[in-house]
Amino acid sequence: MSAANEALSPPARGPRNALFAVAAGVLVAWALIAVLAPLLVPHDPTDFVSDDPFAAPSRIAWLGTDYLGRDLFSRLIAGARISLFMAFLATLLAHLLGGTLGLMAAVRGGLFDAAVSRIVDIALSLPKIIVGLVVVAAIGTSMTVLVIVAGLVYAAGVFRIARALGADVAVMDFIRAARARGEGAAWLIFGEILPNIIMPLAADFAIRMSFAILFMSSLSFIGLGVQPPRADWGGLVRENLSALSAGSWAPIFPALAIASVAIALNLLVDAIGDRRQLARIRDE
Amino acid sequence: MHPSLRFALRRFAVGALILLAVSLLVFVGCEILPGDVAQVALGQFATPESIRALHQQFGLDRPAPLRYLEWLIGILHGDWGMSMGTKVPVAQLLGERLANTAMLAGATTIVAIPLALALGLLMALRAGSRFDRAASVVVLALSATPEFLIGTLAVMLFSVHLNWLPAVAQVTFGGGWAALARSLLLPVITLSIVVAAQIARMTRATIVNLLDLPFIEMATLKGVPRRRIILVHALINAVGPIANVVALNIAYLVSGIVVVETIFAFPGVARLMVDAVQARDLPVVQACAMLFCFAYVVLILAADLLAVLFNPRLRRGIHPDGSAG
Amino acid sequence: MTKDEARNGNGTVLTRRAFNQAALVGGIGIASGAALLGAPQPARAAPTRGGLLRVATHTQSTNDTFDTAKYIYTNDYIRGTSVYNTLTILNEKGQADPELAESFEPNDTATRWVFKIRKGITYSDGAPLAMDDIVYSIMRHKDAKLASSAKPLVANIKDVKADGPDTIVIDLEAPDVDLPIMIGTFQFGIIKNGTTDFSHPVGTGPFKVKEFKPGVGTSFTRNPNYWKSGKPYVDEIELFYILDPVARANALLSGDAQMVTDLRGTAIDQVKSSEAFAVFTTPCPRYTSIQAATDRPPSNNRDLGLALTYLIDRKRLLDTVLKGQGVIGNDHPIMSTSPLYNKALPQRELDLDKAKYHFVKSGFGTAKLEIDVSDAAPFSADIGQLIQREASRIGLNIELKRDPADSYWNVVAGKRPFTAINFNPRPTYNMLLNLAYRSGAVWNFSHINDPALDKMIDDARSTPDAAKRLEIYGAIQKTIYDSGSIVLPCFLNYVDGISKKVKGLVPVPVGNLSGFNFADRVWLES
Repeated sequence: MSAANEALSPPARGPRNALFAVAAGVLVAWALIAVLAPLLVPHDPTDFVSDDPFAAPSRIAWLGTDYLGRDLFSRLIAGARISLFMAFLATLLAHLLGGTLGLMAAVRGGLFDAAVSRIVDIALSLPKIIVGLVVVAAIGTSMTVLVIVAGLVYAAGVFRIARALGADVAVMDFIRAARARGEGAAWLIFGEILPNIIMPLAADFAIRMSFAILFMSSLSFIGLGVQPPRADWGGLVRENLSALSAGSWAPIFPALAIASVAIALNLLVDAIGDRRQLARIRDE
Repeated sequence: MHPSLRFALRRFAVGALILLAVSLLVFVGCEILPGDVAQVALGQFATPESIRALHQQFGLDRPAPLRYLEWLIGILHGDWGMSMGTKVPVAQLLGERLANTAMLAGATTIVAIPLALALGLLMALRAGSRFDRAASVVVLALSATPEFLIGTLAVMLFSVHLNWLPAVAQVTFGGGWAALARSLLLPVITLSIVVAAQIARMTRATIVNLLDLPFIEMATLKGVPRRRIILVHALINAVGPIANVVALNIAYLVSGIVVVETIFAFPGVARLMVDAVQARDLPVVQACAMLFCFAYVVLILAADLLAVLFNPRLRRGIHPDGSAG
Repeated sequence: MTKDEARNGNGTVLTRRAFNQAALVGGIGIASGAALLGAPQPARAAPTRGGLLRVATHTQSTNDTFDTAKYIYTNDYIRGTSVYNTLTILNEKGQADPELAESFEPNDTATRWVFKIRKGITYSDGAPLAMDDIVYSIMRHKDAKLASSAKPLVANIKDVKADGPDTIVIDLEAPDVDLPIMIGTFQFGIIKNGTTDFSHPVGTGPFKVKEFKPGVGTSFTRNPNYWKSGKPYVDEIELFYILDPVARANALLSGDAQMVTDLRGTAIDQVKSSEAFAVFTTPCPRYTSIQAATDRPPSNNRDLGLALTYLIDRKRLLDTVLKGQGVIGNDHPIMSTSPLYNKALPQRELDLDKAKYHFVKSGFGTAKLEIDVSDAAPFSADIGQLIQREASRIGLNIELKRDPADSYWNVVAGKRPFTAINFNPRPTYNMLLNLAYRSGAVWNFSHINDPALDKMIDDARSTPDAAKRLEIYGAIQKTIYDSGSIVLPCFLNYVDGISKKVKGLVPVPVGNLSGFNFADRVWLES
């Protein structure tokens, strides 16, 4: 987008940069927490620090205790690692698979495009949570399975975007020239097209990652999430949900953590994204 | 033939193919699940001999391809088969649930979508303002909160503490319209929050993006008031993308609200499918999958048609797969 | 009240004495009785008629049925007891009271039981109860083609026949002094001879079905022709399902249901402290255990199993997870409140030294030990987490695997080395031992194969001398305790939530809400 357009849009540069800084700061902080989690937790996240479930915050347990008397703060930190890592890997898988297929469909068109597009339609028409239910029922649950399920479920969405973005670029002159030179499909996709759509794909990545965290929380709700005693953020909300009736905030903290990441990811996208392409991503 | 009509017909043909593929996929999926309808029906009481007996009762001793073909032939004759567990016709089982789902999805659509569009538009009109930024954060936070937390908080507030509304949407047994409306309120509120946040976000983004397009810039330079630009020029162009988002959200209200149906004990089709999968009741699973797939195909088609009708550029060149993209 | 009726008539006196002896053999009677926490029931207020009772339960299945042979869930039992009667009915002590049968008597060897059936009983549609109906209702479970869930229960029944217009004779393969208890369980609800279509069930019970929607709920209306005069008290019942425990508690607290089953965690405290609601608790020998499959490595390693028994903090489980709603167990299926309980066995406790001793002796080392848990076995994920945490302190590396509930009993339970098992109370301990601990038994998930144990289980049933019998039960407990095949940390009370307006419930130790049999017991205080 040209600098002239930018100047015409009402939101000035200042706030957008500030937003960017805040969003990036939150994400970097969470990433650091996730990486350093084992060093940061005051207690082993599976250890019982109190005889009281849902104890109020104290010097020992900064955010109180969970339903088994474990330190919620430590579990939140450990959960950051699980949630962010799983969501990141799932989104990565979705992009590798969906992105590659989408761009191939855009470049090759024809039967390949039609066939994969129909498969994607099928995938999109089935409710994600039921796909998760069936897969977990079939092969059992583990973090690997959850990541693969979420990755596959979201690959369909990525496919549609990558294909649409790729199709726009594929008709441009420089691609025609490359085709004329006799370049192979792989080069066309990764050498010519991808660099031109990398920003909108990155934006999609960020938004989709926040969806992936929520998807896993839904799986936790129906008892198919991360295996105890570990828990991702969604699982922490779920396993401590009954605390609400005891007046405890135990499920609110992990929910806030999810929200903070989702908001930061979206603001980041707003701040850096190419808006015109974004419209398309968000439709999906 | 009118291009839109041809487009719709072709999409229907493709839709039928997708339905067929889904039915096959679901059948194979259920076949490979561990435990079958007989074992699940006997649960902890299963013995090898009783499982064998039930297999015979259910006709599960016959080869799978044959059973699939029989099911398919039944469907083509309009016969959805019988639920294996309860011996109730699937059409009856599904019909009641579908009416409930239609009620909930319909009510949520009526409440949430105008609200979401208005909010999204308002945010777009004042893009960059304090209101916009505050609303954005709230909307983002809501769309990032697990729906079971929203639902539970709503129940605790409105049912347990204030005692205004029922905690469960027990719509099955009588009670009249007033009771029905009251019992639907909380699920509608919960789903509206989830769905409206999503749509408002997209609406704002779509319109703000359109404002960057050259013809809008042109209008701006010509001195057309900003409000008028948004309401006249941008909005017409935004119909397509927004219709798409709305369609996906309605499809979600039909098939994806297992969690909300569970919290409110609402007898809808999403929970039916989960229960049927867990009971390995294949005819019911198949029927639900067909229904969800059909809803998705029709809703997306409707959205695409809207997009085509409102966008002259698309009207000329419909994308080969009809995705209007 | 059924209790009073039981004392009516001379015919029952002898029966009850015979029966009380029987109960001492194996009945699961709870010595301490049960309590309605937070709401001491005023002594026998006069029942009031009328009202709509709404009940929300914790299981849900599209396999909902009125077919007595297909019952597997709580809801099936509740629906069944609302519409059908059984020959006997279980009371608070877990003993059989007369119901459709006004009396019952064994022969000297307890191989033949004679049930005298009440006269003038009619179905809700007006048809009279016939002896053939009773024969059919019991014998159909023996039909292999029917695949009845009660088939293992009727294995010992040789024949059921009518003897005159109001007498039923049941012949047994082997002596069973507890037959009247078994015949009072849900699957033996009396239906019309030849019934195969259960979509519009007809029984002699207190209610008629108004609407039946599998997987959604059932509504009942009062059977005006019910043979117990003045009963049922309630006009209508609506039964529906709320799977989510938090939502279930909220439904009670908001007044959307007057009774909910299976309260958990903080909801118990919340209901207890509320003014309008009470916790209704039923102590009983229901348990969730972690069991070793003793026919394969690594779980055939007795020391490994014994190490696990010392790795659970039973008190923490009882206090934190169960909120005190249970009784600590000692790794065998007999409760400390039972007169049969073996007091000589030391109570197992969290003991890292002993655990370490057995763990080292097992030679298992640092490999990963997988324990399968599931929502199919209540609280098993919590039990697993408690064990896992303590195990990490002695270097035993446990990995929990939570399996989906739907296929758990077929695919996982007893088929992997260490799996969580759940048993609902059986009317008698002997029945449970037969079904779950005998070599080759269907629900012997540990695959225990011990002829000595089998013999003791048989002897316990047929030994007439009470002291000797007690000795045998003691030895059975010791065998299971020492086998290292089972960690049974706690017996789990049934914990329900009810409105204080609901009266007449008595805790019957075989299930939630008066042993799933509340329909003609409860009334709503106006």
